[in-house]
Amino acid sequence: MKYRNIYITGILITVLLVMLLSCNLQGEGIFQSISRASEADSPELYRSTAEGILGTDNDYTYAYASGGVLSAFKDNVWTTLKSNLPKNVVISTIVMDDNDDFYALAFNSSSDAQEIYKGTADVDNKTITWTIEAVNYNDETIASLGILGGKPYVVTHENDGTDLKVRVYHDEIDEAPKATIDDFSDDAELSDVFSESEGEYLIINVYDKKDTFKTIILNSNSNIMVIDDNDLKDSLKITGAMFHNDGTDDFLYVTAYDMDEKKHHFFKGKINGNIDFTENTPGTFRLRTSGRTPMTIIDDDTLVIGGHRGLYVTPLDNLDNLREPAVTAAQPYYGNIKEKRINSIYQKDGAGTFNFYLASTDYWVLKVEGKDNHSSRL
Amino acid sequence: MNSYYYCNTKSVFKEFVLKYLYRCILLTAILLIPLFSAPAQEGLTWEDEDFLYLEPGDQNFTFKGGAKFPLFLYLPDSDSSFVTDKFTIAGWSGSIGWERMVTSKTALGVELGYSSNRVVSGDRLIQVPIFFTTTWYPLQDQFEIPLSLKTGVVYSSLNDLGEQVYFGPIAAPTAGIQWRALSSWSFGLEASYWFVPELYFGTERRENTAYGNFLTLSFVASFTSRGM
Repeated sequence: MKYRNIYITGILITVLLVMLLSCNLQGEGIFQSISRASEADSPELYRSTAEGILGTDNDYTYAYASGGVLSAFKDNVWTTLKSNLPKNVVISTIVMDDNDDFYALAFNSSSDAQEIYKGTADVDNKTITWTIEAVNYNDETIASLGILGGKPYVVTHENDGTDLKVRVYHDEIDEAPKATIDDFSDDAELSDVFSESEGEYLIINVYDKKDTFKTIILNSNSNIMVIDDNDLKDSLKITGAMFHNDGTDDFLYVTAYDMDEKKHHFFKGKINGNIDFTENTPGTFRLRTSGRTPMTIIDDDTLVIGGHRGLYVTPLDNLDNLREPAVTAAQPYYGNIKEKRINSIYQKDGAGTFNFYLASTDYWVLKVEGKDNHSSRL
Repeated sequence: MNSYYYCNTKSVFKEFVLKYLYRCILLTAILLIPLFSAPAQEGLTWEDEDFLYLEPGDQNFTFKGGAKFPLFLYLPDSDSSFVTDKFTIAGWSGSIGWERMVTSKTALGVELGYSSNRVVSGDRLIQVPIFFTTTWYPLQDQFEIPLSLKTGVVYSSLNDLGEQVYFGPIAAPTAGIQWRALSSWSFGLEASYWFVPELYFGTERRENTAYGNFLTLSFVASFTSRGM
């Protein structure tokens, strides 16, 4: 009887010790997390998908959810802005220019038309008012809406049966195109359009049915650089691109997906009249195969790529080192990001710091403030 | 005009009967239950009053449910040490417990609880305490005032990004008032102050130490099993 009691007591103490030692290794502390929680006017916001983080205006940081629902963040509170658009107009992309105006690409199911809207936010009254800027661009198909040199651009394409024309509308996007590119065969299909995060170059990646790619780089002065014969394989589909100046030279970082080999690739190209890409890191990482792969440079020397689940980072001076960050006691920031799908990255205080926001699927906006802090939800 | 006045008076009277008189009758009936049913159960009368007193060996089984109010979080190493605005105003809690009288005024027991509070971010803090309870019954009459000190362990879980869990200590001084409605059943209210330390050790994690402070207000139903 005596030994049985000792035995049971021993088991209970062991169970307690195991539970005490094993709990909460990932988090920063339950009450700490709660003390930093921000408030949303709709709790569902935190379970929704943030498609993009747009920027900051008057201390408000803007992000939008799938469906184009725009929310503004300030003083630890998220405010969702009510749109004046009817339900049959569904926004797919929102961007914000340097004048703090919003532009949205939307589809009108009543008229079967693609539409571009310009919006003005009034956070105090919880509204955003959209006015229409352009409809269908004379039957051209809108491929992309983005920001180039701080101003909005729209890329369209049109196949008239004999020729494929790609047009770029920039700055005054409701007026004549700033650039028209018709250097394609008639059976080409426009695949993807990307603009890098610092807004000076636009990459237009065209895939045609003859299994050839044509990559066009357009700078903010509308100068066109066609990369026709480069080191990129024909079967590569570009999924992300980012411009960076290291103080001396301009570089372009590109992620691409090899549709033949089903493998991701990562390239660095020096822009010098033309562009020569060199491949870095064999494709052991897993990125998105469609849509835009977000990239940015933090801490001056660390490249960050939003992966399919989680992040990849690498020092700029050793790009073959692209990998998921380790979660250690001295570097706990990645613990809450792991396994999260990243849709866009926004650097809160500009380049050179370790502070950035991540738009994520199902977890809204994640906040990273230094590698020695746990990341949290904004 | 008269007809309208008559009808209106009738409807007011009907409303009075339905709304107020009915409630008064119901309340009176509930209040009279112990006068008839309690003594009848064990052949006791109110004059006997034996069933009002607890004896060593008696066992109480308690069932509690009510609101749980977050008071404040204390974070000693944080810039803002006292945090009061991160929860919605009230959550809920419930528990079942057992205790045994070791003297005529003191009982020892255990209690298993479950509680939930919503954070402003939409996350939910779940706390599951296991209490070891010491209860003192200074006043035993038709109304009892049990005073308890509960200590134990609590499993806490926050369904935020990392699905954090923590297993730590808890202390909960508690006071209540119970009315012995039947020979075996008491009903009442209880207020319990939950002090929940979340302790971390080591230089790298010590700053995450924090203390949660909550108040529960519960309805209590207690069944007394008399000892032989």
